[in-house]
Amino acid sequence: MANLTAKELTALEDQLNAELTLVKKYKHMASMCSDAQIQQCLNDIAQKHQQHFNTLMTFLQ
Amino acid sequence: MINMQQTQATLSEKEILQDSLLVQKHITDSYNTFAGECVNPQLRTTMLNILSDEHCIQADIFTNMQNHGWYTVEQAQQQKIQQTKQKMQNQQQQMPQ
Repeated sequence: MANLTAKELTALEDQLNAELTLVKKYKHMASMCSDAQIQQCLNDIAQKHQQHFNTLMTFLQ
Repeated sequence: MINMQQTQATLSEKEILQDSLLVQKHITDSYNTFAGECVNPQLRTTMLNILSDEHCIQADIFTNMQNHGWYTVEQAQQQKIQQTKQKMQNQQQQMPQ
């Protein structure tokens, strides 16, 4: 198990929750846009937040 | 009536990008705070890397808004820049050696 302080674990949980919410939020906002360029930008951002989530999860392995 | 409610609930693309900027500012703040509280060096490095990435996302959104003319910024006057430079140079010279 990862070696973490209590504060680090709380921080990780907060950021994992935030990143997951942002993935959903950016995908939803992309679906609301008709401008293809803005839609692409928002979908790319959703993908980046997904990567952040995946990176943070490795600290809980 | 239904159509009216739908219109009111819909965000414009400008509003969506404005909201995105606010969201990015918020998450950037939290990574900045947590990076300072990390004991584990690998976790701190990760927090700082993601912090940098969040700033890049924020800059992308800002550039996108500027390209659409939704975020205009005012340039500082050259005279004001010179005044500030002069003032700071004077203050530096007054410091004891």
